[in-house]
Amino acid sequence: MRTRLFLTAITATALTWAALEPGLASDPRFYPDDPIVRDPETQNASGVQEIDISEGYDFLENSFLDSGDHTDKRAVNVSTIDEVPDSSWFTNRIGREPWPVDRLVKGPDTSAGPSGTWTITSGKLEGIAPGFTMRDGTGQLYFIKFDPPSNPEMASGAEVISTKLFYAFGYHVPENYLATIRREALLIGEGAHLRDKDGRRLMKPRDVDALLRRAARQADGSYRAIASKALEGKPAGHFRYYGTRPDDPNDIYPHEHRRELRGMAVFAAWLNHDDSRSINNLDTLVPDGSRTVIRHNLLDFGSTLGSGTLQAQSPRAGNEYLWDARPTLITMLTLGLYVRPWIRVSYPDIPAVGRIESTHFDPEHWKPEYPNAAFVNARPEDRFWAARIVAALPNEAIRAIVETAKYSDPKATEYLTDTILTRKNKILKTWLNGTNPVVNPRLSPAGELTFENAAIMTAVANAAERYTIQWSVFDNASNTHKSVGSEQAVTSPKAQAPAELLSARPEYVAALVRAFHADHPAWSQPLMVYFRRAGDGWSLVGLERNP
Amino acid sequence: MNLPADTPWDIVTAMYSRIAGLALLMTLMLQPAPLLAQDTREAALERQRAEKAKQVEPYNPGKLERALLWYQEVNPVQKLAPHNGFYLQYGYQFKPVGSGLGVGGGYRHDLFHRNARVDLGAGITMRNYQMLLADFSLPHLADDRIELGVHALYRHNPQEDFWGIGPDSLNDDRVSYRVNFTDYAVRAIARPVPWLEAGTHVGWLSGSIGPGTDTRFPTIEDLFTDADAPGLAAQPDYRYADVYGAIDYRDQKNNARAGGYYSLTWRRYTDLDFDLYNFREIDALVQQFVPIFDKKRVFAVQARLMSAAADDGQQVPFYFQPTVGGSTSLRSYNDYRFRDDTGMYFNFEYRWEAFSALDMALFYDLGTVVPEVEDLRLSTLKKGYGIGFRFNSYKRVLYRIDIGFGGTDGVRYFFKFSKAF
Repeated sequence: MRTRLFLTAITATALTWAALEPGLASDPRFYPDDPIVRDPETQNASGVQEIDISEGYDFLENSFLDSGDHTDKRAVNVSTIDEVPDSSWFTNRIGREPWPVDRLVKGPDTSAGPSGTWTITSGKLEGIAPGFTMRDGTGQLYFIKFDPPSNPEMASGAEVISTKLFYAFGYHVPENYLATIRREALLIGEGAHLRDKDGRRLMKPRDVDALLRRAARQADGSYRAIASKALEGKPAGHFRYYGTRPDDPNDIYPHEHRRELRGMAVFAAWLNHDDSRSINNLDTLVPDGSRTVIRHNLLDFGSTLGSGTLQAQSPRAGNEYLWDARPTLITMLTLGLYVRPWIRVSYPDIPAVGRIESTHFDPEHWKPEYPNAAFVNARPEDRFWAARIVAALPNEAIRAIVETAKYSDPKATEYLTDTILTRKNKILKTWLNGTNPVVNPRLSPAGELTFENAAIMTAVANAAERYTIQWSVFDNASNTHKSVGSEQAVTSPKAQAPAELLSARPEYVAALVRAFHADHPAWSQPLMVYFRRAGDGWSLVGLERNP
Repeated sequence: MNLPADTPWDIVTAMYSRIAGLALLMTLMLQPAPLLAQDTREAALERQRAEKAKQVEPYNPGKLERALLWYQEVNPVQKLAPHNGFYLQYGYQFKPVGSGLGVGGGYRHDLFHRNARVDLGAGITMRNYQMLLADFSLPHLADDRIELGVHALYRHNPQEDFWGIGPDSLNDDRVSYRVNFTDYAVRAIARPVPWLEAGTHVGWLSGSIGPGTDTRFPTIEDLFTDADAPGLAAQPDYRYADVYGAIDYRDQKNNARAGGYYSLTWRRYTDLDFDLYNFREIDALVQQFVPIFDKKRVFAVQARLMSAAADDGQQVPFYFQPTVGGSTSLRSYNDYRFRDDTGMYFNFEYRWEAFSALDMALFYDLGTVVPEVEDLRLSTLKKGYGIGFRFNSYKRVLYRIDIGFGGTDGVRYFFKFSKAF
């Protein structure tokens, strides 16, 4: 009886504790619907208020106050196979499947651009870049920006090219069209207002003249401009590259730990997007079925490639932060005798290109204007993910996209294309070799594991010396491995699972794969792949680079 | 050990077992997760988002962010100094070097569809320097190539410094004096191309000299007479006229890193009362900026010659004599330290960018004053050298700290909201 009492009490207590302690009766490692391809935003975000960003505060906070959490950990929003599910932040495009060149050239554009009469609704003479908003003949709203007189075609060309590329990567971007306008075709709408040094007032024809005086004028008297179609939805302010929006119920992953924001460091480096900060993005409230959700957009690519929007890109761009203590102090103390290496870099004199080059470019040391919390947190697997997307862009498509900038100087097109391609190669060489490059693992019904090597596929490395594989049975409920057999070493990317592994007919098997190459020590970082039984065969359910 | 059935102990243990089972059941019902919970990833994520939905709150910026957002939105500096309307600003037009911190303000407005402009302004400094101005101009004639204007200007400068005349004046002889000017002038300025400007002024000027108000030093009458400070005893009214020309191809006027600036001015003063102080003066200025390493290093050179020549038997009043010394000429000495009928100085600077908001400089200055141009000798130039810190934007120097050594008056420190040259 006492025994009965003791056992009953102990069992009841233990079961109760197990029910209350989430860690013990834990979530399984893999759910039946893994790997997910879409991260569902299920909550209604219609209650959000617009969040303004102070550029000065953003600079101070990120430069001096160490914003965000910098715990060295894996990105938190990736799927179980280390990919980014589609969401309001990112839509897998060329990273998921190849796109034809004409689709890449089209980019986000859904039309031929503004048409009919342009009626100005508001203007801006002050600030970084003067411009105006207008409605075209169909009533669609556009934001119009011009090239600086010192560098015709530069900012508009950079904007067109980078928009298409960032769209191809998977980000939400506006539709940006090249347009040519003449002064006489511009009408001022009723009630159109202007903001100048005297504040806000009604716009007059001489204001349009003053605005166009600050724009590059073509030989025939017309003006080339970027017409940026207004984004769908109601503006909700800007997102930061760290933390979450406290008013957005769907925003559950700290931004500094999101894969698509960390990986953006690679895209930004490739395209010299040093202005990749909060002021150059926009959250918009859009309908999603019966709900309203926030879509997170990137915009304003006028300061990419060789363009600094109002002048050629600064030589410092990409090489040093606005405030970088070490080189500043060295320069001060050596009375200027220390010359930062990037100061000595020479650039060709092509006004439409501005300042960009590929010889000095070093992907590992590229920097934006000031620290970006997500970029700082980027780990090798984040950069690898991004580099694979870069690799998925065919060179032919890049050439065609640069052509859409319609530079009147063929030297500009040729130089920019060559530079982008050379920088692409450096990106791939650096980041595809920056971690274990094994990709696309498959397990046949007979237990043959095959995989590919992303670095070899893109010709930035030659064959591995060997691969090693350690097989295990995986228990999904307890998240534990039980090794089976000894470590295998192979020289080609395939291996046979041990017979005793398959004969046990486990629900999950796992393989820890390493690659070895004398020139690429990072290849030996571990890669764990998981397969779940699917009928008579196996499906990939998990992939963990650097577990 | 077996106990007899139906004993109190049996009843208690049986009850306890039932209670334990009931407690377990209740716990499981109240805590459905995780054992009964989501069985899909999608459900797990929905639960996380539903949990967040219970806690949403508006974004609440901190104090510093709120202040900077307010500044960005309101732009108080522009609101205080609009292009048209009442304005308030740091400093004012015609504010002399060494007059201290000051503010200015007034009312200005475009007229006649921006073809004309009026400016009624005033300024005052912590040392009680004052200025009143009424200016009317037609600034945009001939497609912005010609400007015509007229002004009435009053200046009260109560703490001007004087050490005597000549290069050998003594530091211990420093005195303070007051000078007031009332000036009515018309101007015509032509800018046929952006890099070329030429103009003329014609005006009437009335001045008066009096005791200075700087209590640190004696007033001028205590140490000097009209014999060693010509014009001290009485000050005539003047009619004056000048012509000038300037070539300016600097990349930025207020923070030049490339290009040059060359100007020549000739001015004539006619004594309308005593026929004692008729004189003419020339002022030649050359600045050259030679950049290397994409303008991150700049070699800057400045040379200036100012010479006033009185008519036969006449004198140049001391308060119109050229001066050398101070933050823009000879930085090993105070502002206006040396004066005579002719002054000359050279400045050499090596500037380097520490980071985008700070340039540093090493400088070497040479300068002197003499009675006549023929008396100038390079061997008698006074020297100065030092180091400078210039906080700047791309377009202008915002704040400058220059430290000058090498003079006989000790180390000089200059804190200025302006460029050196």
